[in-house]
Amino acid sequence: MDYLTAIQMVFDPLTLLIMLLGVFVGVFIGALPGLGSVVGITVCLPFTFGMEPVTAIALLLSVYVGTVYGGSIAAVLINTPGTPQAAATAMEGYPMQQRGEGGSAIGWATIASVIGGTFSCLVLIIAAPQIAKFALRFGPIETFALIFLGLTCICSVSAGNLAKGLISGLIGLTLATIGSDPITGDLRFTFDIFSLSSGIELIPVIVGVFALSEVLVQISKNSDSTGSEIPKGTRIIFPTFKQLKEKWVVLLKSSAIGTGVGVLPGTGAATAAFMAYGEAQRSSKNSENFGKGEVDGIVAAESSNNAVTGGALIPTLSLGIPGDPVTAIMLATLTIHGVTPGVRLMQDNPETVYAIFLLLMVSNLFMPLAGIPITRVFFKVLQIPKTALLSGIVVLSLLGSLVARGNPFDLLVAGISGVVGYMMKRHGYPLAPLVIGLVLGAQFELSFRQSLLYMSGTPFFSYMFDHPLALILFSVAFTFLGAQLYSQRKTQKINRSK
Amino acid sequence: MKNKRFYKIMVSVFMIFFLTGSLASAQYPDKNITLIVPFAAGGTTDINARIFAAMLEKKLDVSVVVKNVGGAGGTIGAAEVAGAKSDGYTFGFLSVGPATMQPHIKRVPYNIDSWSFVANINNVPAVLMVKKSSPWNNFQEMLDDVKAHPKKYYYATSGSGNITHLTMLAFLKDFGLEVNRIPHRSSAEIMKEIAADRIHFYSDTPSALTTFDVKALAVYSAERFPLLKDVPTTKEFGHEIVYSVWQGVFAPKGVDVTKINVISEKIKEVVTSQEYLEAMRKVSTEPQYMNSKEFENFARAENDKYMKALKTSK
Repeated sequence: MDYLTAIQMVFDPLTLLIMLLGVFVGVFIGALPGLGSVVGITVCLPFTFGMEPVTAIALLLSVYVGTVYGGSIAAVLINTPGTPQAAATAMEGYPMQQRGEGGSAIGWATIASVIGGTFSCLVLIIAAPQIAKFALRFGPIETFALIFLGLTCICSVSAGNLAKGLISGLIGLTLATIGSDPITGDLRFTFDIFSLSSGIELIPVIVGVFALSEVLVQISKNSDSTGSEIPKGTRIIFPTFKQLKEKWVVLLKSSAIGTGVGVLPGTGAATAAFMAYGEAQRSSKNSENFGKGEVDGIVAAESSNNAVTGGALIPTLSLGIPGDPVTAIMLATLTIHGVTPGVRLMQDNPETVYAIFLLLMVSNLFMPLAGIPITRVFFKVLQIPKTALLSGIVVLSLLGSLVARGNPFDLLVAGISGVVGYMMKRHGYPLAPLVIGLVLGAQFELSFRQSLLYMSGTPFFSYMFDHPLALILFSVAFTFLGAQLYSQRKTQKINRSK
Repeated sequence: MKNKRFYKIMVSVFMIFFLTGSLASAQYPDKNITLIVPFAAGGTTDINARIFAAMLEKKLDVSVVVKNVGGAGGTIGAAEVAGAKSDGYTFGFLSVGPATMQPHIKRVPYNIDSWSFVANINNVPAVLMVKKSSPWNNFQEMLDDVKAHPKKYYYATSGSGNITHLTMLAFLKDFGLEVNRIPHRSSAEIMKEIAADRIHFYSDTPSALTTFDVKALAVYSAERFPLLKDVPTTKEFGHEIVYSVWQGVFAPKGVDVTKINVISEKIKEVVTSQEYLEAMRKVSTEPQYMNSKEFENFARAENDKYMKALKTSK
């Protein structure tokens, strides 16, 4: 009965139209650097005040899904991740674009996004209450163990040169300590610069490290070779069903990672993308191709970051606890419309919950519809003279850094990150570990120090054995690390004997 | 010749602009107003600000543009308000934390003397909450249990030296209790920890009560709060603790008093309207209008109170 009501609410022409519009707006906003999901949703928020609750959520959900996917288009075509979660996509997508395979890179990204989103939606429908209950077991020590596991992917993404990768990762982790101490609130490493008291913002760093550094690379190339060498493409090329079947392991694994990460508050799509990307590289047969345009990397990053959408809704709908800032805004919207979210939402308003399930499903299916024309437009834009394109990228990147939180100081952060990123590229330091360190750093430190607070007074081993879940995660992490080091040494030996 | 005519036209165009400009400024406000919200989009303060801005816009006939300048407990945004041009077109939607607490915790480029006070708009007392299924049915039961088991329980704060922290410090000190603190970053995380029984106490605005599986044991106000008539105040147990979360509109120091009064009057129309009351009740907030003078006295008193509280907490 409730499902019928929900279907009626969702398959209303106006709602469907608004969702299509929402996905378009979302993909477009996501494609512009710096304007992530939160900005997209906030822009649409005032329009929802006059709508019915389900229509309002339809708009927000479709924009949400759209922005998460939209970030990948600019990431592939101009190496400018529109959103932090698309940074991993840029690392594989842009090399593909340089080989002239940009269209198929976006095709893969699109299909992976749809599959990831749909997967998480199915998990949400089938097992939301059970998973939410399980998620409650993730206290500080479990979260710490999980992030520790996430950080081990620095090793796999810096295959080839572990030392440089670790240095890059440490830079990221160190940057994450700038700002207020999470426990005492005291300021650290701010050097009396007031704008640093809230820490280093993620978006300007990502924009600088990826987009601006690439512009510098292009400029420095241009001095010795003239003429544009940006390969042309015109449209999205979808993978065939057969190609897709070959990737099902990566797809499934990454979607599961994305859903899982989405469930836990305080993590988010960027974390999921990097964890799935690292795992894909670790387990891939052609892991040496990563960073040079490997489809598996795109598939992993995109399916996992879109799977976060459904995952984040699991605690949101079953416990009323938002999984990320975006779902927090959705909860607030529901409240404004008189639908009280929380533990009783499922009992009190089942039709709203079912409608949200359907809305998420439909928005995911709308993604390719928006992706096709917007990709075409982007390809057209790529045909403008290179100098104009490069300056356009600079303007967009800086604008994005500024908009993220409205602080001009972030322009400086983006600029410095650009130069640092350029130097790192020139000297063969991988950029991904830096971003991974920065993304995970704050939560890493906080959960560690929270665990210490709980531990005080209890013997270490008895505390650990009270938390088997954390023990398991730690063991997995150490196994990964051991295996990495072992294979690294083996390849070194082979290289030396050559 | 042609050139001369061009200059004439240019001069007259400028004159027209100049004249209309000065005429229009007689009718303040004549251009868009920026309302700086010192927290990220989507938070409690932001949602309240957006509802408020949408209603104020209708009364003013100019757009009220909400600008989120988040970070560092709201101080980055507050500093931007304090440093803005005092032309009466930039205002801040500041709450108790960034306006009167943060300046005593860390060095910020503003203090209580940096403002033109416009109006207070919302005010809700903080409440002490515990899990709904917790064994304590009332404040007294909790008090006895916690007294008998010092250091057994945990409370969470959503930041250092903010309302969730200071209220707990005052409560624990006044009632002589020993409870461990675990800092967190957001109420959402804390609600998860409460559900998982890792955190046992949290003090914040009553909005969590309608959303999550938590119940209020006491309210930190001088008298019982109308929306929570069944919840006793701490005063009824011997210690008066008054902590409330308020939000008000601030302008940089030096804005013309007549302009402040124009805006304050319009804000009064919004805040005292039925429509606004209903919207705020939905997000568990209580409207409370104070004019410029009343608000200034109130904010200064709050500032003194927190200065003392934060000095003793260190």
